[in-house]
Amino acid sequence: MLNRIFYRALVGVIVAVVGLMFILPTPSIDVPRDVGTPAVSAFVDVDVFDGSDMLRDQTVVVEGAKIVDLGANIPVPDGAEIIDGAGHTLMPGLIDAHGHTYGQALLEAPRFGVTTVLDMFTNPDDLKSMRQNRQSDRPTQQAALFSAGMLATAKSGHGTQYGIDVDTLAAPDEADDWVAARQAEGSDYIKLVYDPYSGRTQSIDLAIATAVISAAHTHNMMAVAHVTDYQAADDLIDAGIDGFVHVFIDKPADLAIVNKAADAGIFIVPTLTVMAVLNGDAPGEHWLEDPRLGPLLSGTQRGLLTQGFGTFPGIKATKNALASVGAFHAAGVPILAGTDAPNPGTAHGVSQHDELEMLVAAGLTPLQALGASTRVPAEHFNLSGRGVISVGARADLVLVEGDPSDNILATRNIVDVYRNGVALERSPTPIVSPDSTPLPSQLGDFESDLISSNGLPWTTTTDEMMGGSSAATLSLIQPGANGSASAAQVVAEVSRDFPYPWAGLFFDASPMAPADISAFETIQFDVRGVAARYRLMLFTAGSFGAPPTVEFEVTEDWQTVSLPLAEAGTFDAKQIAGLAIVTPLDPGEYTFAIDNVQLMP
Amino acid sequence: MNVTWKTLGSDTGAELLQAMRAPEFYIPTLALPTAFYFLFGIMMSRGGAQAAQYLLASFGVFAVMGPSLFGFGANVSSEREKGWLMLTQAAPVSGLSYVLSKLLTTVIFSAAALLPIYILAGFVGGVEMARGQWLTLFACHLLAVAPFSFIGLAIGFSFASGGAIAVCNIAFLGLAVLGGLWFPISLFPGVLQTVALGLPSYHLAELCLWATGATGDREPFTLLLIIIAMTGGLAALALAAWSRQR
Repeated sequence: MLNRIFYRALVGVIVAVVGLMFILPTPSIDVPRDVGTPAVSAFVDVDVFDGSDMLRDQTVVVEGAKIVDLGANIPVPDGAEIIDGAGHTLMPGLIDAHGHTYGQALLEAPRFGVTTVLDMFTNPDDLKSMRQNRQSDRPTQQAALFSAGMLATAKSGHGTQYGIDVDTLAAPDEADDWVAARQAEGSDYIKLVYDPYSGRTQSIDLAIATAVISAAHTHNMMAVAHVTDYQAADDLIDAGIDGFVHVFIDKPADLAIVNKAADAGIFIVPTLTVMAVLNGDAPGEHWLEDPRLGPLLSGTQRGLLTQGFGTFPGIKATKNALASVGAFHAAGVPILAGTDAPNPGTAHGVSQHDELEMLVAAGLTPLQALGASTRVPAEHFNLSGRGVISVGARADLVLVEGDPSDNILATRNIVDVYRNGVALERSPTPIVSPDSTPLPSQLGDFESDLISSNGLPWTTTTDEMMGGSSAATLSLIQPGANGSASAAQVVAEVSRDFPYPWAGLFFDASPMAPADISAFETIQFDVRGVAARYRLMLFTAGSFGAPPTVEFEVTEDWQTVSLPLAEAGTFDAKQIAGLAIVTPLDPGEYTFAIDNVQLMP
Repeated sequence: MNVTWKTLGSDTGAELLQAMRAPEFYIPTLALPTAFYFLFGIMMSRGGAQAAQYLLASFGVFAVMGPSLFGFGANVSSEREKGWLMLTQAAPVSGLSYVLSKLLTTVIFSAAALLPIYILAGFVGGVEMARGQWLTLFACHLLAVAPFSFIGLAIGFSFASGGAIAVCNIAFLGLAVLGGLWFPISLFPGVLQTVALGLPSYHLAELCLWATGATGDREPFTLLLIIIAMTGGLAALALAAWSRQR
């Protein structure tokens, strides 16, 4: 009898657990909008950009995830859903040939017509789940992903500043094992960062770069490179590189390198959009007001589009890049459209339309620019069935009003985006729950402790979390500002082990869910310390990269600083994870004190 | 071997029967964590599904702690006092079966305590996770049985039954609050944050937070190693208490 009790209890619990595990809610990302969508649909009287040319007044028949028929006077199957395409152009889903799939990239890109993303560095741990759906024919809201995974760079080199644990290279003989490890992780191609001349960061040397390229070729993988200057590009063409994922910007291309690139058969993804950001422009800011695509931007995307590379000196990036792209294109070097989103000033999907416009400005015809975002990347990255409209190709499609081969800006008049033959739900997904907690006005009076009026803590923050070695200690000192009892003091030592170092104090706005500061316009606090320009940084949930930042002057005497939050750029004020007050970038020792931190309406 | 499996079945059956006849055991262990989670994780929380998901990770550890601590601590102590333990040691039954049956009972009760919390989280709190994440989280929660059972055993062998219940309660609340199971330890003053680093409840909660994909840097393998090391240390403590009993 006792045995029976045991077995019944055991089986009962196991059945209950297993049963529950199968009915617990899962995120509803991959559920098609409409289960009853007809399996067969036909676009009629539509102009088609097939990846190379415009075909007028076509009928395109889609069955399931594939294009099954295409022609001028072909019959429409019985029962097919008819989509009237008069005055419209049907294009292959766009391919962003340079993206980084952090955050919600694969959900954000398709809303703007980008159905395939060629990732040029992301956390390899995330690769498997993100790649799962690319060969599936099921309806999906996500873009298809192809990725380099981990990138090849030096210790403290470009790529190590994003908080991803990077497997860096120190010697040429490590290259083969390194490439094998990438192949095992599921990388589709190899990306290396070769930047030995700019002096901005550490870089692998030419011997290592050459070894990585040959190792990639030994493993039957393509090798592409991040370069920013002419000399680096010249080196790597000699080393056998397959393509560049930026155009160099230190000077315009000359005939020597143009001919060399054409002879070597390499391709270039110039990423003109991000070059414009480096130039100090905000190429994507106009999207915030755009009546067609603006409403589809998520809060994170809106924030990104207004950011810039605040700490970079102005360089003639755009002018040089446009001239080079024109020259390479004229010599027959294939140009591929890519955005480098989500870097500051760019956002997934939407920036692709800026890139197309800039490619036309650089000298491509609108038709060639469309090809650069569809068939050309598909050919170079071996994406069969993508980037073209032909019988048997995948039905990843964009229907736009007007004729983008006449005016490239028409790619923005998106009517519908189809992924695997099914029209997408094109609304910005709320990334995190909208019901965040409002923050109180008083964030820290530091009279008796380092805790806010609603019980949240102030702590230290340094670049140690990104692999740097800056240090900071936080304590209460007497007296505080304006006759108050005490203030918070930070003793910080900033070192250069991380490219963008910081040390300071951090307010953890909400340890469990984001906080809401949308009721406030200004942040005000008292400060004194080693004289310099300090920084206030805002952290929002679900965003990546450099946080919105405002700089302010600090002197040895107490003064009240009042900073309009809008100066930090656009960010989602209802998704605040925390804020930090930190040192300048320059290495050295800083002691500073903060008191009476308040949010003001 | 066959006999051991059979005795294990009857021993566990007996343990279960005993537990199910003891409301002073099953009410606090089954109902308390559910009620707490409902109150703090869903009703009073203003953080929505995100907070419900965060607290599911930590309250799940809390739920497993009850059966482990009380099932072992209080029970072993009272059985020892009544001479039952000595009888089992003298009788031709396996000591292993004694401990294993208690362990199985604890696992079954822990799973039963977790079920209502998962149901609340998924169907009331709006928590949505991938199938694999739900499964991983459940496995991580059940893993908590190991270290807490050894704590319970050590208490059961070291204190008389009245004292054992008191000590179990102190350990129960201490591990919960100081380990950050009720609210995140980042809200604590610095000294208490350091204390948390020494508690298995904290590292288990971190591992479970990793399983839910909560924001923050968590190294699952490091956490697992710490938990295994702590479990090993606690096992040694329980063994020492066993050999030194009376």
